[in-house]
Amino acid sequence: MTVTRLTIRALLFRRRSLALLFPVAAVVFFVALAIIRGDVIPDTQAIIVGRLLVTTVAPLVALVLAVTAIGDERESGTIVYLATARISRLQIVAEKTLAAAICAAILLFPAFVAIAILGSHLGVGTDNILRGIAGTLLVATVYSAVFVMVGLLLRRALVVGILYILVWEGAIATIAPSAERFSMTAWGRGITDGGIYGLTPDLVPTLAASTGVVALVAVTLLAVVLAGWRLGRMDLP
Amino acid sequence: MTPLLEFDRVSKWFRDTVAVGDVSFAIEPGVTGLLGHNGAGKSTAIRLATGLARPDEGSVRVLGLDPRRSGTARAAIGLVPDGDGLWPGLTALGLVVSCARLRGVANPHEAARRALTTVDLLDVADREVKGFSQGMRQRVKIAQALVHDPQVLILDEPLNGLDPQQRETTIALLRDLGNQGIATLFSSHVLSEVERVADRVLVLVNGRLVAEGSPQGLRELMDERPRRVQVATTNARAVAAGLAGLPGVESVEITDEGVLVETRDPTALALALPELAVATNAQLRSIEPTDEDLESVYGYLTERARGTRR
Repeated sequence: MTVTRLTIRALLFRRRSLALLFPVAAVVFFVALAIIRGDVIPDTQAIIVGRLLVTTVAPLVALVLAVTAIGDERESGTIVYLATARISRLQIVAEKTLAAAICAAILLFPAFVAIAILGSHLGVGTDNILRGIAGTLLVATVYSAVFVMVGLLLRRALVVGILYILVWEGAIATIAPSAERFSMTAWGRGITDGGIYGLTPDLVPTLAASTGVVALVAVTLLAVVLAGWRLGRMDLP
Repeated sequence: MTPLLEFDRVSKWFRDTVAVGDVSFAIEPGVTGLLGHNGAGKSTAIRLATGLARPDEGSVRVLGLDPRRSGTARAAIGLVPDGDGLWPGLTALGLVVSCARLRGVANPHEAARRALTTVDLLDVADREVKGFSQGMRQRVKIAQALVHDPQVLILDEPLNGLDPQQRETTIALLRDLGNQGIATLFSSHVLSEVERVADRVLVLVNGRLVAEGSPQGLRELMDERPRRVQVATTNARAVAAGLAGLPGVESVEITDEGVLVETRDPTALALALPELAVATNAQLRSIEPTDEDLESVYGYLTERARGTRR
């Protein structure tokens, strides 16, 4: 797990990573606002957890961490120490993905505390709160895997990722029901929002939680394998 | 016996530029210098040797194995890359321990301390690498390359950016490592450095291996190369006139010190000079070759490979 440790250290030592606390703070802010205004209804949880945290904040945090995890190593040249070690390139990619996901979990921690407080105000069970946290973590993990892979394929992975989150996940996949089947965040919403009762029809997820879990795990594994294959084929500086 | 590192007709190109062309060589214990001007293909050859790049043609083998596919092959290599990048926030010991772990060393702390002792950095092992001078950082890079006791040590321009003192220390260290039986391959574009460290030299020009051998042997390979000899004498004009008619002499030039002769047959020149001095009543003060350093040989090889010299 040396690659994971080195990557976590490198990611958390960066100022850019601390800037990721701003979108996380938005979740905390909206939870606080809802509680102060007494506007705590099931829809509030679905909007803050499903639409804000899972659809925008967690993907954004994971995207930046994943692209940085591999990009910084290539830019600084430290990747040669990894690539000339005994470990396989698949292992390098798997550990990079894990490190990005762990860092995402650390940075998202204030949001998890906020949604736990929101859940307790709503009177939903611990199960529902844990579903919210688990779904968010799975989405962060799949984004870590996918964008470690994209970072190995494209120079402008960050720009591509932001456009993807805003255009596909944030717009098309949230308004076009047929597109939800191909949306990683919709799979996550199936987990986080599937257990909330009393939602207005527009907010009820169309995918089952089990489908979401299977799809997210499958895409994560596929992305790691593809990224490992890609790194194995690449010439490094 | 399987060579420690072997290139067999290796070529690598980037679009229509040949970075390494049809290069074959094998590395055995001792220090081998990989010599070439900037852009000659040295770094590409090192990337190929360490599995960082894949040959377009031919094969690279470490202990008979492909370093891109075999962890055993990679474990036999220690690489000191050219770049200055090191992970942030680590002490010298922390960095070398991490590299030991990456290479599966059984007791990483003990191995790291041993490697830091080799490069004389143990007393600053607990200091952050960030505050180190370039020479110290270079030694940390060497320590991480040695931490798993590699059979092949590969260094890309290890003397770049070092001050004279650091350069001397690093040269002495490379010599020691070579004497310990580690097959050490280091690249440089500075011929005097290679001459001082290497038992054997590989000369790359425009991606082609144009010569290989000991620094001395390399000169012997260049027998057809015109040699320049400075003859300090009291009667330069008469000596110059006599030298012009000697077999093998290509040019004669009168200088402030005497006569500068370019000849393809230095032995004939050495035999003829005493007789010529007597015949012209000239006194010979000194006879010195002016291009016996490796730099001149390298310049000649470069020109020859580029087709600008006969």
